[in-house]
Amino acid sequence: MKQKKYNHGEVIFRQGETGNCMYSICRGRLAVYADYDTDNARKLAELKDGDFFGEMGLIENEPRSATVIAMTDDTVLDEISESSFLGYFEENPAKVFMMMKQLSQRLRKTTQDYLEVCHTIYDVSKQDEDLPIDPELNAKLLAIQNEYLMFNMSGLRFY
Amino acid sequence: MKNRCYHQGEVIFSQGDEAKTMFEIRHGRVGIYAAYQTSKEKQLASFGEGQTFGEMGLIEGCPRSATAVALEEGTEADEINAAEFADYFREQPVQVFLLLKQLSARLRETTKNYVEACHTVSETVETQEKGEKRSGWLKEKLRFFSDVYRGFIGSEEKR
Repeated sequence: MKQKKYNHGEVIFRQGETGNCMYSICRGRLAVYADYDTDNARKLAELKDGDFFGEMGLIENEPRSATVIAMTDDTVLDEISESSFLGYFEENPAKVFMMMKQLSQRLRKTTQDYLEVCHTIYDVSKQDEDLPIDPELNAKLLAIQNEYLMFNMSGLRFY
Repeated sequence: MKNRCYHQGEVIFSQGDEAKTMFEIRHGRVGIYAAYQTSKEKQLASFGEGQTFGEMGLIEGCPRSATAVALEEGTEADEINAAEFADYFREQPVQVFLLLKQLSARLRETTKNYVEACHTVSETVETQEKGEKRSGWLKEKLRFFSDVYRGFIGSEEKR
């Protein structure tokens, strides 16, 4: 396991890169961006002390789905590779639990959001296609469409 | 860690129960059901020796989201609570790694579905705004996500 230091504005990893390690934040604040180097850059989340990120790289060996930047100077991260993973958690078993908790919280939130959209779709389906959509329902549709166009398939809750 | 033994058909835990433990199967098989013993009963999964279930209870302490039933006579499982988890991890680090893998795969899958549902809404709005008829593809998607919602409310019904 390596400890790595970053200053404000430094990139931890970029969207599209292959990565095979995850990170635990010892100190500092980070920002997660979709399409960071483009005009369409949008911040997806902020991370802080105690948060884990990048598990997808370690666990699934997929390309990074977002860019992570340090927001503060003297940001300190534990960089955990697959080979050091078991050793790292053997020394810190409570951290495995925390990591699973974070993953499962993200899963729960995403599932909730997903079901809400399905509910809206269900309400739309019940209405006659040829009639104008009920204004309250239409407002919900527009809000969802707006969200969709903004994040456009980028790494939303896992990176 | 408590070792538990079950008869065929015995309920291990019920949907809605308070939860603070997970289980590892030592012998036999366990079925996981939504809306168990109602007209909407649906088997979601089944697990065998060496597999775990009920992790969400341990990780989040949220009520059980499904019912677990012993499928064979003499099904045996170890029940593990949070205090015992660190020891469990030390004895079975690979098992925990698999758990993390499962969680992250589910997060990826749910996020994909969520994005697809939002995409469907976006297309619905566009079609409506252009005054066009909904395409076959769009109708299929609307039906699919409506069914997801209906399946969800179905399994939430009280017995």
